[in-house]
Amino acid sequence: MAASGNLLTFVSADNVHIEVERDVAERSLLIKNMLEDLGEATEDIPIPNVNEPVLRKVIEWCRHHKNDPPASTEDEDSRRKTTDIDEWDQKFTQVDQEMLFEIILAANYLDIKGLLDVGCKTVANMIKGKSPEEIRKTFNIQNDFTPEEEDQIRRENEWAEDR
Amino acid sequence: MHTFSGPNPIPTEVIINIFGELSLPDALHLAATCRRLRQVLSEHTPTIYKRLRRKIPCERYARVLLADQGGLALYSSSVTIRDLLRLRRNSRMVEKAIELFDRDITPNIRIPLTSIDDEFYGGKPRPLHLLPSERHRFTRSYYQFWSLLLLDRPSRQQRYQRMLLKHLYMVYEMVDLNQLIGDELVSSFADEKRCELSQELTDYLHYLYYDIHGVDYINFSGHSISMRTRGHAAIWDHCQPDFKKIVCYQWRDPEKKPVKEEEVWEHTTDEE
Repeated sequence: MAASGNLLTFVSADNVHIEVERDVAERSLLIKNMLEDLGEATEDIPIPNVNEPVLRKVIEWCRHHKNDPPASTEDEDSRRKTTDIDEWDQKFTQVDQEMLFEIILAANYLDIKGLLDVGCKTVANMIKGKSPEEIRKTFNIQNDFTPEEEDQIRRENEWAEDR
Repeated sequence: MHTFSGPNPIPTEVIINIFGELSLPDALHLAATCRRLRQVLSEHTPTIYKRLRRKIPCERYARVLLADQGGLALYSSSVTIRDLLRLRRNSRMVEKAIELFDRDITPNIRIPLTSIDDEFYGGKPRPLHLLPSERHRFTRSYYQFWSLLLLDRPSRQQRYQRMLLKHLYMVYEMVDLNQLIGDELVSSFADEKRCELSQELTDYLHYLYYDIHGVDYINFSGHSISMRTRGHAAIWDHCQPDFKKIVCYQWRDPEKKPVKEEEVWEHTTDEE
């Protein structure tokens, strides 16, 4: 199933064909650069590592944000200072943790900076104000420190909190 | 399922991104959960710090203090976890100082109605806590004063010479801060040190004011007696218009060469 005109066809890791408008697909710098190198894409574009439900979510985000100004360059100071996420993105990221991480990894792989930022900000908001133990519970992190290491880190952090 | 550690881990570059979205205390907490996260923070501290620093209040002055404490040099980018811990401790001490200030000073200030118009605080009573721009002034002056406490006399003189006139006024008011600053301990030595700094700052303010404006130094903190702000005047938002008149000496002879505002008042805003 070859794409024609402004429609491209993505093939997910689980081999599902999904049609995408070219301007939506180009939110991904990986795809954009690839299309520029190829000129006209006539073949299906395989997206390995990304499953259909995740790929559909990613495309949904790109479609909503297709008219956003292009991601700024590596100027760290011009990036938004806060961890504010706009309302649509907040709704968009209300998914289970597994899906959230899948989206972040897909955004990282496909090089969609805006989506990666939204995902990382969402994770950051889940960490905000929590103790290490609460963070472990939230993300199911295995505490693999030795008791001595853990004690040392706890004492350092208590010193830094001036407790 | 992808996790921070374990058999199907999230790539390091993504973890660096997540660290970059956190505040400094949250980053230290995340790095205290498991070895992998600790390792990512310790191996990529400079990269992560470039993002984290935006959320450290008055980071520029926090860095000066860190250098004065014998930590990371001011323009170095080789930040380590040790520096992060020290920065966090310093900023926590400022937070605590603000809590005390908001308990003992802020709620008790009285603003004479004649000296202020209704546009301040939207016609409402003055809030009982420091406002963001006031917190910024407090934090900056606190760090600057803390640095002065650590420096020897020649280094202090150099520091005064690099301070804006406006900042000198505010640092001078820190002399009267009724709590221990930084690593001060209750002792006669601490009192003597404060007296010494008070004298140096007064002398330098007199010298600099005359040097810039060609007239005798005008004390501003003295105004606080009528406003009952216990020695603190330059910090309040409602005092800024009067304070600016004095720092920029608005009664200046128009024949004389004008003073450039950025040389006495600000090159940045108080919100930064």
